[in-house]
Parts: sequence; structure tokens; C-alpha cells
Amino acid sequence: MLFNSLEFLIFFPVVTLVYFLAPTLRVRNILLLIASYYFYMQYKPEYGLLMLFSSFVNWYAGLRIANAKSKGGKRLWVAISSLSTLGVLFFFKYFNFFNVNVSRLLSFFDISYQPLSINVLLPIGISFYTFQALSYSIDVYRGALGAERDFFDFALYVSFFPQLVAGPIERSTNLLHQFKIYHEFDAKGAALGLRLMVWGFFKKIVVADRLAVIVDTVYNNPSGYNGVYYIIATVAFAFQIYCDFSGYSDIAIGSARIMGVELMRNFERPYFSKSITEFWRRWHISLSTWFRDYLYFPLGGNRKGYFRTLLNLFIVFLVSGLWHGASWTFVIWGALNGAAIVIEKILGIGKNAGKELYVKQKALENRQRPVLLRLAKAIAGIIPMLLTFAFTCFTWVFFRARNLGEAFYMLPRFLQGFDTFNPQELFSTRIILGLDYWEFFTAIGAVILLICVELLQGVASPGRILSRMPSPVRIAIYAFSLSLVIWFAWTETQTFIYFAF
Amino acid sequence: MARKRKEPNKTKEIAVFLAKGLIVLILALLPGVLVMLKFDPYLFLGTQPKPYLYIHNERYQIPGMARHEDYNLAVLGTSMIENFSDSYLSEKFNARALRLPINASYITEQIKVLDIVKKYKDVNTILWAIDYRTVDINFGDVYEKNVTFPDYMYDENPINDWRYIINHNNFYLALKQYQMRKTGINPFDYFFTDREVLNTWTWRGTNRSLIIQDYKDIYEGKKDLYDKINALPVEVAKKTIDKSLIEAIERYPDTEFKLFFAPKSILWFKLLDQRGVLEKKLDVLTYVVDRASNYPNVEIYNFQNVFELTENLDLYLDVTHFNKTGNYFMADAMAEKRLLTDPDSFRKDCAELISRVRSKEINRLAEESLK
Repeated sequence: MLFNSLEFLIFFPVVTLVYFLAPTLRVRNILLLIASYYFYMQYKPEYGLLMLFSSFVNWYAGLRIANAKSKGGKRLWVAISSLSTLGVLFFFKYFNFFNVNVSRLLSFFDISYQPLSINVLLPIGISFYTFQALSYSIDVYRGALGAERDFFDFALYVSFFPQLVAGPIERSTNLLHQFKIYHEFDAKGAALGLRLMVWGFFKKIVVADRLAVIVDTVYNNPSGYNGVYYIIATVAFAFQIYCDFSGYSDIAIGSARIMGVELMRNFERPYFSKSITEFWRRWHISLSTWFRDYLYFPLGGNRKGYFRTLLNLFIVFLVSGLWHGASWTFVIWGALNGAAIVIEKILGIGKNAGKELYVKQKALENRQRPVLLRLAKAIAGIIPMLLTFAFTCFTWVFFRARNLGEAFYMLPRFLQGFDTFNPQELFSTRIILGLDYWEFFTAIGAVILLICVELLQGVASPGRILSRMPSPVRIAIYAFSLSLVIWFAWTETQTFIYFAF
Repeated sequence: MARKRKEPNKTKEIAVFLAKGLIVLILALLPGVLVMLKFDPYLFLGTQPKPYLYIHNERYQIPGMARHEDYNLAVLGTSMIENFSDSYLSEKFNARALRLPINASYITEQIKVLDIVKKYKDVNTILWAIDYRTVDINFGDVYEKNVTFPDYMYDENPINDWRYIINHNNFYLALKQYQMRKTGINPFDYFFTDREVLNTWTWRGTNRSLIIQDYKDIYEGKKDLYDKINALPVEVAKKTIDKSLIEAIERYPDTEFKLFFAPKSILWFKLLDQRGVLEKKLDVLTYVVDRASNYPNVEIYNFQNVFELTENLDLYLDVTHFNKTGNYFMADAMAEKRLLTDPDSFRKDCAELISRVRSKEINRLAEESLK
């Protein structure tokens, strides 16, 4: 079931109502579990069994790890849960990719090998829930939390519908215990949740889905366009993927918040980053921190010397690329980001940027400075911000291109076509890059609004500003925001990009 | 896992929250709804100010026109009826005529239009282009290969009308209409102020080279002849005819139905013959004639055998679409009750058509077209 579907607009209020009417916590959690499986099984019912399998394996492994007397026994069970969980992921997501590449490698050595191929649809959200389930077993192994005895609560932790198919990838230490609390209805929390949902819907159905048309028009026919259009489409994709994914996260966090459950933050205005290092502290935070905790640290983190630290960082990004998809385009995308992080590490760029305490301290220091100095500093900050955005866009070419061939076809041509480009001609047609002219300018207006709101978020919390306003003004602002979503929504329902990962 | 009891002020908190939520929702919907009620872009609600601004989007535009235009003669069918002139038909039939075409539609959609026409207007004459492909369907099928059929505009269920009113695309059309009414500028010829030219395609021009190229492309497999044609057993088509067309005729005994088979080009029939479906097509149409001619309120006209039209390739845009000459001819013929057919004469016409399609002249024409 898609968040941006009519079904969800019925499903969510009904589930929320039943949730708050449920007399006991036990009943509530079981209802929520049923609702979550119903939500997931709308895509393909049989894949619900796969999720059940991952849930059971990790739950059982958690119990065995907790009960194991020896370190060896614990290791054995964490290995079993990791291999079986990642095995499922490998089978559905990487089996064909692996086989084709093994075949290519062997043919290089003149060894003939007919690659095996399985024809199955990738279960939606498999990378998300397997990582979530896996983190639990590892946390139990590490002693970060005790084993969960109740299978239903654990299955709910894995399948909790708001964040099931595209995150945020939650940690058992944050989410599991919240299912042990009977959350009373909280009007403030619900208002916050609804606000986040509206903002998420705005990003998804007003911005991202419109930009998708522009992006698809160019990226699905690269030979039909030149560099100017590649730049337009790539910048559009940068906003599309951000709004698509962070929009999903906002809806997820908001809908969970209405039910009293707090999910982790997943995006922190990433395009305002002044370095790639900072960008990755603000983009898909739940995945970045997952890789930090469950891959970077086990690899040795920064404890095994300078060069090993750089190598570990690079490996993490390479794997992160592969996590996004079984294709060399994603691997290269990951490698480019990894290389940028390594270079920044060597040059000492972005060391603390994006870290919460550092940001707060800097903000405090900033307030002590004269206004002119603050302004000059802000203007100077635009250059690294733009450079970071440009590099991010460059990497998005690999992320979005349909294959490596097309990415390499487009890249050398990015600076071509400026001499013949006539903006007046482009904007004087009824259909501009696949969008009706009104829709095109709506997309531009929506992106500008998005940037303005995020600029505001950088200065002050919109929640705090709203809470200080008189109720009628607040209601008017909410109504205006909701009306933007209702009346400016792109109505051709598109799935979320990250569902594919 | 203790059971919790809701405190009394909790109930109040929920009630206030829901009330505020409702106010927000109403305020959010209100401006758009008012815009929609004011401008009603597809004329669906009947609130659009006059003069009407039409949109070339037949599946959406037709139900509103059928409800709110002033007419007593309706023309139903596919693109075969798009080039009729309402004023010419009105003059010829001494009536107020309205074309209600839905391009590429099946008979299912056309009957939905007929039901609206009969429900809202005192229409006593229906001109109805019956096309083989519109009945070669399973009963109830709707043509949706490239388009979505907006069922909610045809279903006469007011509850579903919210899908028209709370609809971003329609809202934008309303704003565009406002822009045009205010500035007088018709952006990119979006709107049609003259109903006579709405849904016509005469501006595209017709000539021999266009139809020959089309024939060649289909023959060589570059275009698909069967794009909009099913290949169901004849019995399925017959069942569909009974349950749709014949039942509609029976449902409205006070209405005069003038069914007609449009003059598609001879190259179209040639292609059907080359694919081995010409006889099946004619069998299906023969069944229409056999069944429909039993009713006193039905007249059937056959223009397939008007060879001075079907072999004059300059009149065609492609193998099936003829220009206004064909429509004027049909209007004249039906007004004067010429080319009426019945089961016997239609069978003769079919035999003559098959013979003509397989004649030396047409074979030569087909061969030359492929050069």
C-alpha cells in the first residue's frame, strides 16, 4: 500500500482509531501487527511470509544468544541470524547480479559459465526490514539490550507499517521498548505528526512526483537531449529523490507520532551541507548510522590506524552503494561518495560538521558575533554548499542513469548545448520536458517553497514558531498547507523510489 | 500491560483535536471547491458560466455536455463521428444536434452516454456509428489501453462526484479557464469556444500519400492494425451486441435510432482481408443488421459500399479516418433516407464489398501502395 494512495487515507485513520480504542496493550500490539502485515501484503501477499521468516529467525536467535552460556554459542547464533537474514537479501536482491558478474569474470579467464538466473520480483522494502531485524540480533549479542521474549512484539518491531518499506531503519534499542508502553492519545503529538505528514505529502506528491516527469523525460532518452537538459534533469533528480525519500520518512515519522511512537530523524536538510562528510551526516541518517555501528566499527573504525580508517570509510560507502541496488551504477555511486569522504578526511574537511553538539556550539558562537560578520560568514558558506551540491548531483547521474553506458554517455556531454539553448523557446511550449506548462512552473514554485521552508528551519523550529501563534492563525496556516497538498498534488500516483531498495 | 482508563479530560482533548482537524480540513478544501463550483471546467456540474469553454478531452467533456447542452438529436460513436457538423446536422434533420464522440471507445462507453442523454434530455433521434471494433469485446469492457475511463462522471452516483470536484487536474483547468476569461488569451489553444470545431480534426488535412503511408506501415508491421481490435470469437461479439446495443434499443422504444456503418477506406478492408478477418467483421455487422432491423424504431445505413468515397484516397488521413466530405455525405443520406439497408441487402453489400476488395484494381492499388 502506498502512502500516497486513497487506500492509505482510509487505512490509516481506521487503524489509528482502532489502535486508540484497543482496551489493552496486548490487543493493541496484535492489531497493529495485523495492520502492518495487511499493509505490506497489499504489494505481494507471499512476501509477508518472507518477513515473518526474518522476524522469527532473528527473534529466536536473540533468545538463543541471550541464553547461550559461552561466547562461542553466542557467536554461533549471531552468525546463524546474520547469514540467514542476509542470505534472503542476497537471494532476492543480488543473486542475478552476482552470477552475471561471476560469469563475466570467468569468461575473462576463458572459462565458460552460463549464469544462473532467478526471475522473482524484489520484495519491497527487504533491505530495510532485514537490516532492522539484523541490528536486533547484533545488539543482543553485544549486550546492548536483552532478548525480546514476546514474538508478537518483536514481529511488530520488524513490520511496524509506517517505517516498514522505506525506513527510517529503526534500532531495537529505540523502537522495541516503545511497544511496551500504552500510549495515550496526545493532541500535541498528533498535531505534530499530522504536520509532518502534510509536509511529507507536500514533498512527495507536489514536488517529487512532478519532478519525476522531467527527470524521466531526459534520463529515459539521453540521446534526445543535450547538456543543458542533463543539468536541468539532474538538479531536478536531486530534489526529486530528496523529496521522495525524505517525504516518505516524514510521513512515516508523522504517522508513528500520531500513535505515540517516536521514530528517529532520517534527514536534516542535507542540501545545506558544506561538505560530503556533512552531507552524509544529514542524508539517510538511519542508514549511515547503521553502517557506522554494524560495519564501520566491526571493521575497526578509526582504531586501527590512519590508512585503515580511510579504507574502512571507503568500504562502508562501497557497501552502501551496493545496498541501494544490484547494479554497477550504484557501486560507482557509492565509490564516488566514499572517495570524496576519504579525500575530505585527508584534507580535514567537514570533521565535525553536522554533528549535533558541534552545530549547537557553533550556533552559540555565531550569535556572539556582529551581524555583518555573521552575514559575511553565511555568504561565504554558500560556495562550499554549492560545490557540495554540484558533487552530489554528479554522483546522482550514476544513481539515476538506467545503466553505466548511459551515465558515461551523458557525463562528457554535460557542458554541451549552451550555445544553442534558448530558454524562451523552452518555456514557450505547452509541454515543457514532459510537463504541462502550469505543472512545470508549479514544480519550480514548489521547490522554491521547499528551500524557503528549509532555510527557515535552519534559523528556528517551525514547530516552536507555530506554537507561539494564536490558535486561529495556526489553524489558518495548517489549512493553507493542507490545501497546497490537496489542490496541487500530482495525481498520477507514483511509487516511492526507495521502495526498490 | 495494565489496562488503562481514559480520563474525562482526555475525551475533551480528543473532541477538540477532531473539531480543529475538521475545521482545518474544511478550510483547506473550501477555496478549491469554490473555484471548481464556479468554473466547472468540464461542464459536469452545469455551473460553468456562459459562453462555455470546451476542452478536447472527450471522455471527460462528453458527460457534462450530454447533461447540460441544449439538443434533441444526439450523435454517438467513436472518431468516425468527430467530423460531423452540429449545425449542418441540425439543418438537415430540422433539430438541435449534438455530437458526443468518444474516440476509440467501445459500445459500453457509448451506451453510458446514451443513458445520460436519455435521462437528462428529451432526445428523440440518435445517430449512432456502429463499428466492428466497438462490439468485438467482452460485454462491459471499457477501452482503457492508453487512457483511463472516468467512470465516476457517468455513474449517476452523486457520492462519486467528489472525484471530479476534489481533483488537481480539474482544479488547474478551472484556473486556466479563469485566466482565459480574465485575459482573453487562450493559452496554447487549450480551450474551444466554438462547439462546431470541438473534437474535429479537419485541421490535420487528408491526402492520398498519408493513407498510403499508413497502409504501408501497417502492412509492414511498423504499426499495429489490431491495436484497438480484439480477436474474440464471433459468438462473444454477438452476445455483446445482444446485451448492449439491442437492450439499449429495447430500453428506449420511443427513440428513433439511425445506426450506420461508416465509410472506412478500401485499404482498411484490404488489410482486414489480408489478415483474414474481413469475413468475421462482416459477419458481426450482419448480426447487428439482423437483430436491429427487427425493431420499428431503428434504421440502418450502410456506407461501407460507397466506393466513390472509400476509394477516393484523398479524403483520408489514414486507413480509417475520412474528412468532412464523408460526414456531409452521411448526413445527407440519412436525412434523405438513402442507403438504408436490411438483412438481405446488407448480405448483398457484403458480398459486393468482398469481391471489390479482392478485385484486380484494388489488388493493384494495394501493390502500388507498398512501393
